[in-house]
Amino acid sequence: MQEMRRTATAACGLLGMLATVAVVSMPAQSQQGKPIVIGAHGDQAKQASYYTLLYKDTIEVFIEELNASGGIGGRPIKFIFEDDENNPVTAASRVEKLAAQGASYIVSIGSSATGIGAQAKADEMKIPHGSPTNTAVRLSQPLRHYYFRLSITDDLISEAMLRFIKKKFSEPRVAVIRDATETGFLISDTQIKALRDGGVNVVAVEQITPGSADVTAQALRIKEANANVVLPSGGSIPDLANYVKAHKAIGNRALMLGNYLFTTASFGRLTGNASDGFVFVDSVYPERAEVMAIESKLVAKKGDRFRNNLSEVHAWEYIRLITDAIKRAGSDERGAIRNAMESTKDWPIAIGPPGMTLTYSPTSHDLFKQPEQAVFREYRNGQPGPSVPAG
Amino acid sequence: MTLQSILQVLVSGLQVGCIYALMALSFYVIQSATGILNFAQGEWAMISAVLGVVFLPFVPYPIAIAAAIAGATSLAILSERLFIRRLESRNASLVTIILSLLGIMIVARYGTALLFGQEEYPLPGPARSEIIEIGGELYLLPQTLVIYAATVAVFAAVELHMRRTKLGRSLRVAAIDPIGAQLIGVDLNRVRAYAFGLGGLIAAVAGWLYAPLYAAGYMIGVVPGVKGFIVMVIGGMASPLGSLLGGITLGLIEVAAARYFSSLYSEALAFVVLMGVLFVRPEGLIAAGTRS
Repeated sequence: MQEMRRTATAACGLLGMLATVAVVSMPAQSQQGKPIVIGAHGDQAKQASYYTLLYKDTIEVFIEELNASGGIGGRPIKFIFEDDENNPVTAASRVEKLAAQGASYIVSIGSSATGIGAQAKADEMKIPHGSPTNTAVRLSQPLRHYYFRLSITDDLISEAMLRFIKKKFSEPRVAVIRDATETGFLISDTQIKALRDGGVNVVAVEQITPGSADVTAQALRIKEANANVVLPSGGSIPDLANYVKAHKAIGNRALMLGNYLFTTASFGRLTGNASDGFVFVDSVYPERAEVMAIESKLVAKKGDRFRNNLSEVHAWEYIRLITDAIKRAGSDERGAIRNAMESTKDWPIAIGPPGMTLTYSPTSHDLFKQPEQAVFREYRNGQPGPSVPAG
Repeated sequence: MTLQSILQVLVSGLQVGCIYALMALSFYVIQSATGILNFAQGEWAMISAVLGVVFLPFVPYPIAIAAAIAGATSLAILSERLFIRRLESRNASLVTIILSLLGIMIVARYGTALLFGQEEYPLPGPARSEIIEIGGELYLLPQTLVIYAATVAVFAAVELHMRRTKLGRSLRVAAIDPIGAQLIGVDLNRVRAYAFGLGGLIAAVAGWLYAPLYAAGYMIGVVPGVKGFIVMVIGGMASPLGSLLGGITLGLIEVAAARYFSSLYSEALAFVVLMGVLFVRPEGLIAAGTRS
């Protein structure tokens, strides 16, 4: 009898232990197989859609591969995308929608203007977020606790341009031609300030109304201002391409210098040989083996529109970074991912010069720290040519 | 301000003005015959340019462009058949019809983006693309001459058509007195379909002329559409010539303001001037001239 009682007590104890183990391990088991949600917002159909959709496709290719190899700790990644209609107010509301769908991280793949709209909301909701490509300085300076960026900022681009101009011309006279869009104002204002602060004489600022059929007037005014460098500035590629054609057509020999937006394939298509000699600042070295590997993978999966469109490398590297941070955090909890992002140190990255690594810190959430990390490229035969390091 | 620079403003301003004038004419033929403001006109211009890019690799230039213009015109007619006619038969208000046309505009624009992509492509013009330089200071694209010639031809054809043909006259009669027109045997359904088709055709031609100067892509119809409507109001509703005069006036003011004042404010300045014109002549340029 005593034997039986002992056995029953032992059995009860064992059952109790098993129940305790089951209860303790329940959250972990219920997480197993549950998707980790990553959200993104961008422009589905308006002016910024030509690059948003390339970045969206890039992120999808990466996640498809990651999920095929088992996801993160056995959990698949679920990618959700919301159209922000290239509108900062809509972008903020899309952040709320993505958060409601359980997004652990939110990626801004539209314009800097929509990135700014999204940032305020994501900060308020304490969701880690950021952009692979937005360049507006104020997105990360002063430091935003939840925001992380990979792209080179407008101030560093402007500084790299300034050094280039000063090195090339003893008495630089710069003209700015911008499109009358929010992006055009944002970028050109930063450039003009950097040039003036750097002691460069800005001799003309001209503007193109989007959709203009003729920009000869602006081109002639710039020629008459006797500028030796012209900065086409903005986000409306057809309008800036029109300026480039008019600039060449009226025989203006001034050097044209632009930012990374001019890597867009449609710029070369629209300008043809008129873009020859056009120099632009970029942050991707096309000669790097990692860059070529990413490009080949995207071309193979999504077609030729990914050829020579190297800004997708930013999107690829950004989603690689986020998923790595989730792995390091060991959780899809927003605060843990934020902390893992901030503790990223000496992380090899395919952006910037060969050998560049990413280090975030409590004082900097930017990859690029110096203008020397930028790269200059020149259009030849209607195509972006090889890179020349800014340093 | 040299003679050469004034001539350059004239060349550029007339070129821009011709595009505006053609778009305004496309609005005018529909508005005058049916009272409907078709805000989708810019989209027929865009679709004509995009279809041109799609067809060009496969067929010779004239066939590609003719097919592109025909395609855009067919869509304009189809929009009338499928939506406007049905709404009219249900006695829908003018506001309802205009709202449905705004819906057609959105569907046409973003449908094109979904079907053909969001990037812009160049559309070659019928003439060579090298610039003509006159006297070292005057620059002229061969496409500019094509635009001048096509604008004159389209306006002349529309004016003659409306005065000399039975269908053209029925457009005018329907515009003046729809009930009286029906009494003398004018089929208003046919007139409306014809007006939408003719308006679509003119917009499609404008798209073919505009795209070689700019680009072909799903967003390119926005500016010609908006400017065309504004120019129609400025020109007045008395005759197609109002659209021509309004277009050229706006084009010249815009370019002159950008050349001699500042491109930062040229658009605003052009509209301040035009608002002043409308304040003095609220019926528009031609109507006011006629009355005086």
